[in-house]
Amino acid sequence: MSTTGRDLARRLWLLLTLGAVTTLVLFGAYRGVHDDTVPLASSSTPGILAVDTAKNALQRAHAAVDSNETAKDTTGEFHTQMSVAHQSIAVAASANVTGLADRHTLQTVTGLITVYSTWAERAGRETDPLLRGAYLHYAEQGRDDIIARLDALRHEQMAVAREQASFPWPLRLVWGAALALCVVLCAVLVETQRFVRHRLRSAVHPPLLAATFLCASGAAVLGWFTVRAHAAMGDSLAELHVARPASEIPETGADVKRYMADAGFWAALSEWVFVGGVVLMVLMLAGLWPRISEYRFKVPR
Amino acid sequence: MRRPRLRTLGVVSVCLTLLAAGAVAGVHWARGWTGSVTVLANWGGSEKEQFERAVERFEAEHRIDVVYQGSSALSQVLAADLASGTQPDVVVLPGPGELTVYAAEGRLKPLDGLFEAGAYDDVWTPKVAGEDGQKRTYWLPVKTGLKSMVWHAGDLPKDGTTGGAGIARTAGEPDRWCLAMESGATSGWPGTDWVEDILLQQAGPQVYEQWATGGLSWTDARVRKAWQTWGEMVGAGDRTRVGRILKDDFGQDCPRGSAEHQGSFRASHWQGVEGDFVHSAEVIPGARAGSDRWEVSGDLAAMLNATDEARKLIRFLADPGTRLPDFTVNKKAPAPESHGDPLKRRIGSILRDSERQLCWDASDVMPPALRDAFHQAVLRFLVAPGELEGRLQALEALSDGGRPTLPVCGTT
Repeated sequence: MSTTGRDLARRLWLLLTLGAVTTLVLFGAYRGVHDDTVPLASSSTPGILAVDTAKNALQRAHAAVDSNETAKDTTGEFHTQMSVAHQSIAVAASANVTGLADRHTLQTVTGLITVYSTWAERAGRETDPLLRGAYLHYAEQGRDDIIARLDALRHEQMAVAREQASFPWPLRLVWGAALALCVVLCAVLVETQRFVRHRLRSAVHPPLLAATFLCASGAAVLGWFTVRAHAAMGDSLAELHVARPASEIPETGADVKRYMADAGFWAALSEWVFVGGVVLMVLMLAGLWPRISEYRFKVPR
Repeated sequence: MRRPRLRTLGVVSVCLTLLAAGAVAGVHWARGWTGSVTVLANWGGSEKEQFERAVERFEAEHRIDVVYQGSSALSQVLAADLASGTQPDVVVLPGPGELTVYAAEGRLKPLDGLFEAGAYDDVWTPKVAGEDGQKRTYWLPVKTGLKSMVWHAGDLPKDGTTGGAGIARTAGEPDRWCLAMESGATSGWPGTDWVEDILLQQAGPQVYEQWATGGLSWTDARVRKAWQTWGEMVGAGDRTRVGRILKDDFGQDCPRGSAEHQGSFRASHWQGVEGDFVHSAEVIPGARAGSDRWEVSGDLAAMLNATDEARKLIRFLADPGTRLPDFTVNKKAPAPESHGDPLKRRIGSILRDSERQLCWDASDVMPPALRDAFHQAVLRFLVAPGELEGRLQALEALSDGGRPTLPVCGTT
């Protein structure tokens, strides 16, 4: 008695199971990397650069009030820089990189900036050199406190960014498993193709061929995007590693934006992994089910 | 022996995987926080560490993350937080003045029922009017301090009979005072402490309370005398010396042979030179006899968001078993006599002695705008003592207007 029908059914079940598992694992592996690309591009980077901007603005503001050139009116520059500092703190707060502690720190920094500004303005108005010196000293102490807090915050933000850009061993393991499953799936598809051709003496089965191509090309494309995303995140991290002076911040922001320009597209592809998985399984069914049906109707006769 | 079937192995593998995943999830859950409570205070350095050590047990027992922020710009940070509706759950403010205002505005949540009412004396936890006019308890003293103290090194005799300069003689020499005004947003407060204490020791608690609550003019002769006494004691107007005083940090090291008018928080510093303290009445010219009047301070915890986590933290802070930073005035806590450190034992005993008259640091009772102006006035007075009258009139102008009142002096 012919075992072809049973062998085909067994292969179909194996292919469907492998297809489902591969889709799930590949989805998990892809999301594991790309879930962090958008937050790195749209939250961590602006948050970190906003902290750098606030620091620079405070230093520039203090340089304006600390100027020995008493004849030169620098109040305009001071207020401009204070405004930049406030706006940057607001941007850093909306980026919300490290969560609750981050917001709490930024609220405190906002209060400290108010105190700093008060002392600096008092110094600017004061005519007694002794009091002016004391007020400037208090302002300096306040500024140092603010900068120390912003440095600590940046350190925590960088830790979050590093984690986002990292490729830890569990993720490597999942990617290894996903690629191995893809190879196995492709091998089983090729073997099924050969089996069908040998047993049924038919030519190439287009649905099975398409499934093989979809599996191989899908894995390659997802892998390639992941390699690119990982490299882009690494490059972005290198840009953010050191606190930048005010003149370099726009350029740094632009560089990171360029590296991560496709982050949204890469991340959006994760949903298509499921669509691809469903198409893959439909192709398998389309390739094998008609043959199995033929054998099912033959058996009772 | 039969080898297990492939299916059996599969089932066992799945079960083991599920078990491992469950164990990992369980450990993660056990280690994770169930909630958080944000706390804003003005502690930094060792005080912050002490508080964080104290709440470690709370975090471990309740699995609630205590997110602490400390800043000397506490008032400004809190005002900004309240304005934007992002206030911390719990705030710890030094003194009841600002809290009284916030309670009257309905910003604070009542603490009644969260701790035993009789555990603290009324001077520490008075009932004050809320937004609806009803009197409730709105704060809890977490850490208290003794003021009206003059610190000196151990080798400085109190009476000068052993040949060296005694503490009284030292106090008469402006250069021997260890004095520093820098303290971030609140720079100037060591000077306000001086003026307040001199008034308390010269004029007594009744006058002091009247002045602190707006019932006595800043231009009153007794208040003016307190300022002038301070100016003479520390050498106000000596520009070289004052220039240094203005910029020095209040937590600086004091030279040996000097004296310092500071609170009990300086105990650990002076212990390094086997230091001791005397009541400030012993060195303040024109002070009334007796040493039963002490200025005190207290870091008071109030609740701004009545979350479960915040309530649990307040209960924890009020628990007599909680080891809070020195000094607690919780009557159920171990008596100060059990303190191993004799200096701290003495301070703790004064704070909990029912015979003493304890008066809140007056500037901590005043509204924030007046308190800040007082700090400013002190700095300016040091530089230009001749402009005192103008400064007092400016303070009096700010002092006008009704303000919520609360008991300033009382016995424990």
